[in-house]
Amino acid sequence: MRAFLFACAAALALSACSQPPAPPTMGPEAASTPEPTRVQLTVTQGWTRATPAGAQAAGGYLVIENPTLEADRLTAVSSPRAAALEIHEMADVGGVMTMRAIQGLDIPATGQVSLQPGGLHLMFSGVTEPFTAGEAIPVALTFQNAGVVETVLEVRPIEGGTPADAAAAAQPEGEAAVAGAPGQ
Amino acid sequence: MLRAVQIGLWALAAAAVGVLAYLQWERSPSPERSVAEDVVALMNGDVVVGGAFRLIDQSGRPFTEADLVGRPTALFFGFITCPDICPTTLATLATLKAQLGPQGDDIQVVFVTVDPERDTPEQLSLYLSSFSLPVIGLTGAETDLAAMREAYFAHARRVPLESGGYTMDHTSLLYLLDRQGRFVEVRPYGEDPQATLAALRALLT
Ligand SMILES: [Cu+2]
Repeated sequence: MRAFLFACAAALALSACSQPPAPPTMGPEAASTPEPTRVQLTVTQGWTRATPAGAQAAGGYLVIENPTLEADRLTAVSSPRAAALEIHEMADVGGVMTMRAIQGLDIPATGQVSLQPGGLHLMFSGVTEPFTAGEAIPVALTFQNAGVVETVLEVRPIEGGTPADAAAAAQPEGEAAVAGAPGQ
Repeated sequence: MLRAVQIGLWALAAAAVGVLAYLQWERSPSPERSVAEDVVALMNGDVVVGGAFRLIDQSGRPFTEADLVGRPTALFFGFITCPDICPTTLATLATLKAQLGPQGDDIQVVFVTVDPERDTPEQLSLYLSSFSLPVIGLTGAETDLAAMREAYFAHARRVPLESGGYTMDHTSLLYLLDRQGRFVEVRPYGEDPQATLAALRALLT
């Protein structure tokens, strides 16, 4: 009882609490009522890296945005440019890089999920026709609710896109030399 | 005769290392532990890193610890079918070396494969030609590579992929060696590039 009162007090800020907790008020049906326009899941900012000669693997990166009030799930991915495309999770666990395939990827309601270097990515394997900088790699993503969403990944050059390049660009020429002086 | 015994002992030692590495990686329920311990030891400089090894470079020439003498070295482990950290490490080193100016050319970059099955000298040669900096690519027999990793407290593990292929988990640290080929320190992957730059510059002094 005490706990119930306490819960009521806590919930007071959100809604009236005269009755015992009415379970489904925040359920998906009720939540979808204030939906003003037809918003839908989008996939943007897709990119990948040009494949070095002989390399048959590549990582694909993109941003999935789900403005709807329902969670979704990425369940399958495919591309005509790879023998296989998988959803992967990469992690640097204490100085060791690990990579695993995952079965699906939950996309929260009104949330976004970024696939980016060093983390979640699309893994192309069996890339027989190399990715060259400037071209666009078509990819199809299948979501539980949103269905199939097609997008393209812009191919960036092998070099030039690392954090070191960003830092070098941000730093004036002479300063880099001074910064290293204490290293002696 | 002595030489033959020596070679025999080496082969035995390499085989033992191979078997040990296999047991550690494939049988241990939590292989990450000994790996983590090694990484901590490397980061703290608590271990004597390095030793004799015998591998071949991308043109098929032998490459041993003796070839690490004369120039400072930045060395790391990787494999060609690596979508992210291997090309990123090479691209980062290209940028940092360029920032060091002509002096930076003195640093030799060494890429040691953990995937000799796919990374033959020919494949390494092709792959490394895609980068703007000169890189020595090393491969060899799996036992020789395992022995070399052992000397550098590095790990590698083959992981099957659903698509039928496989990937390699591997130590992602960048090893820095001085002009005498002696271990100086490791730099973690993904650290602030300015810190790596300072470490490379220190190697040149
Ligand atoms: Cu992957």
